[in-house]
Amino acid sequence: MYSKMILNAFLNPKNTGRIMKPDGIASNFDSDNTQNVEFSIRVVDDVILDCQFRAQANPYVVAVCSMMTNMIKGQKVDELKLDVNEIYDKLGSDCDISFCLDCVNLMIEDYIDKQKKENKVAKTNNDDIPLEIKPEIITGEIVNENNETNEVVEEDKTDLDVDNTKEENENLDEKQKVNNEVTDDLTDDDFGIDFSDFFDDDVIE
Amino acid sequence: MDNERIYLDNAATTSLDAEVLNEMMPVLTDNFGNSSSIHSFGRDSLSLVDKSRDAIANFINAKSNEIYFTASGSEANSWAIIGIAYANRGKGNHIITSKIEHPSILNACKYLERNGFDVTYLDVDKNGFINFVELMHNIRSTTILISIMAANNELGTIQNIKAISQTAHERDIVFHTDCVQLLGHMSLDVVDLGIDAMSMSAHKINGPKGIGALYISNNVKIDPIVFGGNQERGKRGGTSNTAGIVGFGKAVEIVSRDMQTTNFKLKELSEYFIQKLSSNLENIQINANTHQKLAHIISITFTGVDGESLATKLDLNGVAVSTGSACSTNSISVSHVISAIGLTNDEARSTIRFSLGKNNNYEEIDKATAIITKCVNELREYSSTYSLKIRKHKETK
Repeated sequence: MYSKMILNAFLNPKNTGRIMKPDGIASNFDSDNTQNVEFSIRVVDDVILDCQFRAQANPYVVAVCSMMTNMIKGQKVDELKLDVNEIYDKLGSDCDISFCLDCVNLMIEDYIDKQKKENKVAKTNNDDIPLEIKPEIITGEIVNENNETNEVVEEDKTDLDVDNTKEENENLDEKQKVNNEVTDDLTDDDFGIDFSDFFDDDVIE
Repeated sequence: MDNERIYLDNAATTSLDAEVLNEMMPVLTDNFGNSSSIHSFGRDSLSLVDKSRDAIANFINAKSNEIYFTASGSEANSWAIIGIAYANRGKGNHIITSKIEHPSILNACKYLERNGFDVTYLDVDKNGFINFVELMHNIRSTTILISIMAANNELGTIQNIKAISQTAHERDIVFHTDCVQLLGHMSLDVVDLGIDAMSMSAHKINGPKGIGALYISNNVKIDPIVFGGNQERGKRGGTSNTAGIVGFGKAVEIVSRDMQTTNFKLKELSEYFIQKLSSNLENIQINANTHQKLAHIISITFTGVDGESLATKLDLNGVAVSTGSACSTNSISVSHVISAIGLTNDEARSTIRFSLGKNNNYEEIDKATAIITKCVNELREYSSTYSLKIRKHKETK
């Protein structure tokens, strides 16, 4: 039922757990209220040093969350970028993961709230502007095995300026072209990468 | 057999008995005749088919000419619902069934609803029993058929068949029961139980796949849904699956011979399994915890664990189980049976069905429970809901 890649990632999920006294944390249910994910981050000097997840969800979602935490780690919190196409490239698109993406948004919101509470001001160019961070989540076309519907997940680009969006869209188109050829039966060889390496922890000193 | 893997999904299907295969082999190789043919090849096949028909009829105390072979239990169910509904259309257009029936019943009913029939789906209680008051309350002057499954495939709950059939007969309504799961686990007397039509399948009793049967009392009118020649007395077309029929007959023969010992073993094994799992794991909930059930079908809700993840993990560790129902694993939707007994979507997603079979042994159960414990603990370790649920649970206590 699940591809080898999903099963590999599911059996050895990375970054599981909850960070003690996290700088940002959120959990979110899927639309049926049957699956739940939780993300937590540790931020030092605007850099996400650690990101962990917990989940009560199917193997695909666990694999996706494991991959997402690895993608989030090491990024600057105010420049956080998640390219969903990368996930689809590696794991295919078994089911809707928008609730996981929403959870990341919620986690960043929680981070901002906490920052505000602690009266910390963002290290932006203008010190008077209150901190507002919207993670940039590039969503991809869901590759449906049955080709019944090719839904596009709602794009979360509200805070991007126009030029940037254009660039992103061009990139997106290219990626979607590649994505359309991707099937659920991906093997490690299809991408010429060693999957086991992919899930190794990014160590940030 | 397979020493590595442990099969705990016997309600989905069972392995083929060696005795059954032995009986089937000559039919697959030598006795290839069409049982409808007039020559000796055909007559040889026909006698084998008749022998099996007799065995099945004997087992359920029916007449041989009341047994009709089909290609599956699902076909038997669909035929019973649609065939009886159309044949009795002159009397009325109302059908009563329950919410926990097999999809072959539910979807046949939905088909009838699209074609002018009216269907009532009865609720069930937390153990999966239908409510008699509700049944009586829903009977109309136009009711022509009541179809209630004998034993549920996800919970094992055994309905009070005799009482339902009496209620039906008092009002001149045909009573059909889906007996696919119960067959071979209880002695069935269709006359005593007042069953007018009953679906059966071979592969749930260590027989071959691709063969089922429908018992229809000679007093009941039914229209065919598979048209063809004069096979099965003109009611079900298609060349007889001689090998399958022979296998079905042999499987029934074995079941009637070994039923008591097998059932005793299954009961002991199941109790051992539940006891072992309950002592190993906290916060698990046994669904349909009643005595009036098939002991070997065990539905368990593991708090804070995703059923699909657990089933996948168990499979990768060599234990084969089912999430809710084997028929609905390809869709994300939660099991209609588990929802019907009042579990929330979330609880339904955390539910796994274990079904033991006569080939399981204590050693396997020991091994399986150890693996289940390990997998559940691993999943709970990073479950985002487990600790919260435990806290809530304790607070409500």
